[in-house]
Amino acid sequence: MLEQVKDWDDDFYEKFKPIAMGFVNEAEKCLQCGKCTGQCPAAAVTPSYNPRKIIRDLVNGNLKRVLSSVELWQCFFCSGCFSVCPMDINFPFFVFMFRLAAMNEGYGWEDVKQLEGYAEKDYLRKGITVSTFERNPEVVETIGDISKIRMEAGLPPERKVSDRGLAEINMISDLSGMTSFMKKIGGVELLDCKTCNDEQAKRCKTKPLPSKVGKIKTKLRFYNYGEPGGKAHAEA
Amino acid sequence: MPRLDKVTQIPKPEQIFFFKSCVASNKYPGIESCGWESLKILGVEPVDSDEQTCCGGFVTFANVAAPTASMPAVARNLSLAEEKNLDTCVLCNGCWTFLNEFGHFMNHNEEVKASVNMMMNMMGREYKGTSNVYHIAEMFYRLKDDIAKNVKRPLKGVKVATHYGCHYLGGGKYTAIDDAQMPTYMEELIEILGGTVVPYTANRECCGTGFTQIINGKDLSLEHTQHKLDSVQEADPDLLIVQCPYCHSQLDRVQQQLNYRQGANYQTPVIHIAQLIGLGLGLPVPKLAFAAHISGRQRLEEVLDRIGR
Repeated sequence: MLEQVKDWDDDFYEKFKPIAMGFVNEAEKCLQCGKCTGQCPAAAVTPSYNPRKIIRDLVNGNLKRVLSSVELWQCFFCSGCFSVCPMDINFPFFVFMFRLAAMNEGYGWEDVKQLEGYAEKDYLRKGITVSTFERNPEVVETIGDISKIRMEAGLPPERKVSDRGLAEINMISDLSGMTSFMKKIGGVELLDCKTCNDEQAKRCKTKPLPSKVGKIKTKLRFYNYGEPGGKAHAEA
Repeated sequence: MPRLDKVTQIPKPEQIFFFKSCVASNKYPGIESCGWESLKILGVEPVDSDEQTCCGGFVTFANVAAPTASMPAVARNLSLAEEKNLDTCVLCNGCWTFLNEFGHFMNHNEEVKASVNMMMNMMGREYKGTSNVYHIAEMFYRLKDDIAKNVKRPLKGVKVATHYGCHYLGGGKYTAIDDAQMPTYMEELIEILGGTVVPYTANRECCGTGFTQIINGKDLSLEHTQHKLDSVQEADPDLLIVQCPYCHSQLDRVQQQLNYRQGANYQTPVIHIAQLIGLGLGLPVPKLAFAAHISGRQRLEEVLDRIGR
């Protein structure tokens, strides 16, 4: 991405702090030692992902480079960087708040769109985020019916959250603006091998990434921190 | 080395609030049943609630929910335990770190707590911040003397490798009971049960789920997991022990995916620490629910044959 002088903002960090609800702090203490990058599982497979550089850009105020980068969406949230940091900077929270800021600027909606279904169909309707659905037909063949296994283990065939519990999390979601945010994102279809028909199975194998999300046109992201990594790239 | 000062702070309660995990309920029911039964054998009575939902960690770190939406959800789940005046015991590293960190955040920000309580009062609840959250592996380590007394099925000659999971040790740098870089308490538990610990090089590496990377960054995720699995296969353990159902699902299911798509041959059974303790305490085989496991099913049967069903 071509950088311009106006992309830099000396006060960016100070402005960002209150917006980030107390999750982004102490970044000015960063020693730039690079321990975070050294042990990072994402950096191990994508050399361009670099937590140290992202913190540097946050403090120096290069807002655009951070928010428009592909790297921002490659964090594994393993908290390894926090565990080795000599200054106790909790970087995973930074990434989490940066992603919200990037969405505000129009980046990365296509990634979040793929995850919205889990919140809408599983978390809000059943109260359980990971449901019994499978996407690998071999897994279904191997284990068969999960409710039968649950019964053999002495549990009820299906774990159910009570109606009051469901009503309460839906109320929290409505009041806190999560529901309206989810409507803006829009969701992709979640397929289940057990109930899937042939046409759906065909689509499952060749599923393209969504480029437009609801009414929001997502912007292109760039590898702003060097050459992208990954096995595919190493071979090319 | 475990931090013994932290371990002694964990109480030995008569009852504990049993916080159910999504993956443990819907993918690996053995974790739920074994956790429940083994706590009972060790003299702690688990109490559950139908009103308990998912901790909300997934939707929060998937950026579908902002912290404003997940904070009240955390408070609601913790208030269920507070109503009963109990501490919470979780099965999953994700639940542990999420409930702990957001609970800690609310306890130290009066304004946030007050606004969360405004919403809680509308549904007739209140968040006070009195319930501590403990991981089931911590509880087992605290109750290790009782485990040693109750071993019915010693794991003699079983080679066991461990995987701790990032969200317990990394995220809980100051709250976890062990050192983030050189943890040993699971190894101790394995030795109490009579198993042999097998070291491997990629022990402290992430399983590769990356919260959402397995869904929208599959290349990165699979590449990382493959690296981990290669290292595990080199050490050739009979069982790989995890303490997080999410790591469990990743390490178990990705073996199958790699075998299916790339013609690899990974066959290492992965089991949760609750299932391992259940195995050692002599729970009946259907309670362990090994039928829900995908990789290394044959090897699991062999292990069961060797130590007795």
